[in-house]
Amino acid sequence: MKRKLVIFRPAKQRTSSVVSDGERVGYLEKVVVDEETEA
Amino acid sequence: MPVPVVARRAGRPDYSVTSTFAITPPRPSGIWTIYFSDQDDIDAGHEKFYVVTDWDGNTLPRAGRSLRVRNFIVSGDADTLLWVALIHVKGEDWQAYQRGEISFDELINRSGPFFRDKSYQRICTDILFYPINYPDVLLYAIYNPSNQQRRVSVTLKMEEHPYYAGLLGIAVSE
Repeated sequence: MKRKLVIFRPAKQRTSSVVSDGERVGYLEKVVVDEETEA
Repeated sequence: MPVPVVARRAGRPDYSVTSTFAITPPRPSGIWTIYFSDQDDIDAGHEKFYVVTDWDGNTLPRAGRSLRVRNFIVSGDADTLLWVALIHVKGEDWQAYQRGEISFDELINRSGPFFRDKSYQRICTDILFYPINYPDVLLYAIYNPSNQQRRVSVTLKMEEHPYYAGLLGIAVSE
């Protein structure tokens, strides 16, 4: 099995990844920051 | 309770529509409702761990707050088997990982899933009460056990509360 760690970062343009708290909406992009193969 | 109107007008009821109840502010008691959604492709046999953030890239919960996941939905196509988990990462482990002191596998092995489920096509759960206190971090994980790439959609409805100081250290046993 391969494991990947993905972190969301602010995007400069609209994406399909969205976070909102009712006052503010932000668009996020995914970045794979780490990858490992489980033994 | 109705408020009497001093000068009653013909054809109108003898009370105003003014309520004596306080008007509820949008975030009573400092509670922030946060919606998060994403869709992603997961390769065959891969497990992806996602670090949820706000629009500035801050992990959740943010400083001085506690996070409660209220609802977690993961969905795929009809024949998609999903393995999902919500994971509580201790702040000290997250910082150790970022300093390069522990590996990604070690980070996950030290962390505690507080929800796991497996199902075809769709998983939808309500979490009754599981506060995560800053500087701890929320992750969710999705594993694709099939031999084909799968596209999945995720929605998290969460609340950030004022810090649950009394619960620090209880949420995940040492």
